[in-house]
Amino acid sequence: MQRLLDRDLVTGLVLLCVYALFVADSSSDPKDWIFPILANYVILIIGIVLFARGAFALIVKRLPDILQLSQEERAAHTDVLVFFLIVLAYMFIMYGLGFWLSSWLMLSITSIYLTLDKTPRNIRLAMVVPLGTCIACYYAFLYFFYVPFPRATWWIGFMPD
Amino acid sequence: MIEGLYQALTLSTLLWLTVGVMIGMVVGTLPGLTATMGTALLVPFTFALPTGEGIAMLGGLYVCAMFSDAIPACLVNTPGTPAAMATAFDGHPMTLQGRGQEAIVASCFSSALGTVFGAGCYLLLAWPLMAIALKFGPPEFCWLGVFALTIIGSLAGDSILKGLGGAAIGLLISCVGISHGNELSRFTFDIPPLQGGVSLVAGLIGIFAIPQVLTMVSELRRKEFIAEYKPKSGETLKTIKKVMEHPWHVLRSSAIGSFIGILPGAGSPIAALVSYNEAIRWAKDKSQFGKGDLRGVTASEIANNAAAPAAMIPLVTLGVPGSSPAAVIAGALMLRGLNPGPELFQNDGALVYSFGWSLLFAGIVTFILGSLFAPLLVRIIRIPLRLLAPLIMLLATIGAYAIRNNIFDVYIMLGLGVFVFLVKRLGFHPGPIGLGLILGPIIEPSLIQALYISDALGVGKVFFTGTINISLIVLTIVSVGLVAWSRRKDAIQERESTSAKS
Repeated sequence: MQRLLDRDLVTGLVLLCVYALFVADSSSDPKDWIFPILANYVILIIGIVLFARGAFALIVKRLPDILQLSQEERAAHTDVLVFFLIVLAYMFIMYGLGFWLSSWLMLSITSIYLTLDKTPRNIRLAMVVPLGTCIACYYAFLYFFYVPFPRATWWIGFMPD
Repeated sequence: MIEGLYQALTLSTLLWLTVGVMIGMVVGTLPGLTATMGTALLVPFTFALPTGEGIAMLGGLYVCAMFSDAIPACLVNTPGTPAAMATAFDGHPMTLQGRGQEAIVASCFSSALGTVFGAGCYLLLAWPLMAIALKFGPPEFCWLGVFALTIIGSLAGDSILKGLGGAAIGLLISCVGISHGNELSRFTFDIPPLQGGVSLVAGLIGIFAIPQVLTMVSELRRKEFIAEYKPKSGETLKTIKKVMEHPWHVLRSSAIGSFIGILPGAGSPIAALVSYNEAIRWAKDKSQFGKGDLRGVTASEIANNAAAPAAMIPLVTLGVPGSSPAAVIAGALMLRGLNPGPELFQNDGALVYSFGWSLLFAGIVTFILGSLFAPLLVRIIRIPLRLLAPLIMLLATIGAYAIRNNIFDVYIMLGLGVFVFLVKRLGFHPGPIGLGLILGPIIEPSLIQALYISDALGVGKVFFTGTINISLIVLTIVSVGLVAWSRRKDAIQERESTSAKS
């Protein structure tokens, strides 16, 4: 099973998936598709070459380059996953709480989660720095750059934005 | 020209120019805020000023944004604007080696050199350069884009196949949306917001910033900061000396940047990429490129800054803006009842020359402010990763959203970021993917236009005749050949050293 994690084999499969995703539609004028078709053929050829190279390594029972995760890497990837899930939640609550409140929450929660040494001082810092950043960005982007960020829908009339 | 110099040297012009430079510093540093957006936002404020001072302020912003985009590129591997993509290739490794201040000062000094050279071309060579630029049609642009693609050889890392694959992915992403020929929907997967295509800025933030943030998070248990930094005295002078040790490199990068800047539609990003590629091709020792070579930073920064004043040449000579910020400046002039073009040159030559001098002074002011603030700016890398990673995430979100006020761009940025983070583990480098995304919108429209022309004249005549076409084809073949040769040489050397060890 581990042999199937050969880097070339996985890369080949990923490229073949990208190729399948970007298969061209039909058009009366081939000029509409000529460029993406050319780029997609490059992906197909490279995908096949890498897949064949990986499969060959598998057949001759040589393990040149296996994708593996050490114990330390697993912990790191858990951090990445949790961070990403918080960011996804942020994208969702942005429309409910408004951009700035949800941004402050995202910043604070991720900073607290990523603080390994959770002393009261570090936790305070993880809440105050994001607050200062959000206030500075709020004034800069709203009053200088005029960017209309998503407004609160769960707090209409209560929250500023 | 002398009258223009007098106008540019007035205290109020220099003051407003400095204000523009300072705003440009902020605009360029924040990923997602481009020089175009900055100049567009500043236009209403300039109406309160006389014309010369108003456009000097806009020019100052444009020039400085082309430098300050290098700051996040060097420090956190996130280009402030697309033009700084090539700066990040060597600038960030320099920061990781504890040479962050050197990278910033080199960017700043190179930007000043590029700006002075570009402004010099504007003041002295506008008309002859314009005559050459006018010979560039769709096939020439297409070949220029293909030539710029050969930089993959330098960016691909260990595997040229993965580099090519990455660039092809970038090119495909750039095809999402309405086609250039018959306006067909391509790769929109029945998602209406995709009809507008993938925003270049959001895409680049996704390709560079998000994987960087996720990498910071994954490295958090091993290190507290991006890199160590100890302030060094005399760094500015030492770096200037190092940059000036390669006068031909400086001259070549300036010439490339100025020439590409003149071509309408090409702009600073392609100037920086071509210049970076040429720096590698002409270097005797290529081994350090991509690993923190100062010449990589200077090649990119000189060229993208030389392209900024040069982009004004077609504007003042023909009335055709050479870049998006130049188009905004053209708009600012037209709102004042001035029509950019030969007429403006004849009727108000002093204003045209005063603007050229202002651009030149903007380069000098940028250098002074940049080198003063460099030790302060570089302290960003001393912010603990646990605070810095979420902050960059927020700035990336704001940047991706602000460019079109569209939340869908943020989703695309996030999706692309996660994709690039994952494929990096497979050996892909973000550089070629970003390169494809930048070059796609330059190559494809030119290719389609050239194909339409070839319907009448034939493919051979359109694509394979003319001095410029042939020169670009030869340069592309030479570039590919050199990459293949140097890779083969490296492989042989590696094999020999391995066998010697065993």
